[in-house]
Amino acid sequence: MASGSKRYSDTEILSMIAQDPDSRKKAIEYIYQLEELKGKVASYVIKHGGQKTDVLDVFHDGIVVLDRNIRTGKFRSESSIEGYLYSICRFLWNNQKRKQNKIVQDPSHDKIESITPEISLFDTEKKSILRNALELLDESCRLILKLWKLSYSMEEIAGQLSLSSAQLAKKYRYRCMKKLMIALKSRPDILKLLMYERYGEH
Amino acid sequence: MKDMENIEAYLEGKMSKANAIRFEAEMAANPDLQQEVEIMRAIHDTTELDIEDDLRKQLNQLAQQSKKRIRTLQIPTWSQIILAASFALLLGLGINYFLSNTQGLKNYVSQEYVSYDIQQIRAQDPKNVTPWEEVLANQTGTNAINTLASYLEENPRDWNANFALADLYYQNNNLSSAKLYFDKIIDGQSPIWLERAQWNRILISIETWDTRAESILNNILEDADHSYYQQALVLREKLN
Repeated sequence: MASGSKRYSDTEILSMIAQDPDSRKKAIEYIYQLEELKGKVASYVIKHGGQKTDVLDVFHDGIVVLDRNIRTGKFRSESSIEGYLYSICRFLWNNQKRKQNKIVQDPSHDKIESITPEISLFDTEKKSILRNALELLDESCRLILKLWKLSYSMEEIAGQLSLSSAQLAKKYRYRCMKKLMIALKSRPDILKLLMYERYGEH
Repeated sequence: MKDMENIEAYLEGKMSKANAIRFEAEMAANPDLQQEVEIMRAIHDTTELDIEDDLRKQLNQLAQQSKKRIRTLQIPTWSQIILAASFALLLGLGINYFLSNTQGLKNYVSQEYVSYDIQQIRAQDPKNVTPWEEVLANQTGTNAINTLASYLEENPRDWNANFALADLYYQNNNLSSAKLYFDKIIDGQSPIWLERAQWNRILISIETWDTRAESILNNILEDADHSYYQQALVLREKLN
């Protein structure tokens, strides 16, 4: 871990990720500075055909997946956060290599980790389509939906947006979703792409 | 709203197994519902991407920091911001006090008018305060107006800032410009700021009533769910 900084337990990290933006940032920063883990990831990636530049990408992607899985309850504390993040990074790297057909999976190595993390990252194409959809929303709506997705309570959302009550925040959230829903319905081009992304050739 | 709640519960796996099976059967028979579920799924993904973008920004900053220590932007001390904001608040209170001692209409407008909440800016962590909010907490009058106006030229759809600028114009007795910015929010249909903008737009038009104010008031009176519906009923009575 980073020298000189406070050491947090997994329980503390989990709770910080679900708290206010500052705590969340602190938790991410803490994870980012787990030097020993970063070294392990680097060693794995380089040993399996990667470059130094790949290490940072894999580590960043790994933290994105970890954050999402913690927030959506997919991380069930069956392993330590550190071990879980390492598994994610390994899976991400193996997937990438498999796609490039550069290596054959090393099955013996995968047996070391008993936890199989659920990995879902948006690919570039999907990101581009989703960004088109995001453009359909104004800043306030983006903020309200983001806070909700970050598991803020309606009281906290009301506080962030200077709304008088949680009830009002709830009403605005639905209004924003409705707005995006209507906007998407009126943009069959984006909608079609989103459906295609989901169902592929079907 | 009920439909959306059901769809959300389904997507988040919060429905009981029996209800989920029933819901899926309903979806199979109803292509519109199926489409709404897919759109809702897209909304979830869209929001998730927005969060991911923020996180990646932080990770890139951390990567940069580990390469070299970047000089942090100097911002005014928090006590300075609080002092300036307190001054603005006292000024606002002073105006309200003055109006409450003058008669009728002005008194009513000042009581009902919804100000931009400067206290919310004061309560925020300084690190999360945007540059224009910092200006608002530190300055009043023309300086703040100019800064916000030029910010809005670059970010015309930041409805939060539009509301703050309209409010600043109102506080500085420039009613025509205040109306202009409230109108922008109304035309932009910002779901969060719309109702407050509509209500303020009516209030500040009371002395020089115009067709736009009349039409907004009528729209509010047609929508019992509007947050200012009750106040609009009272206002209509007063105007009659």
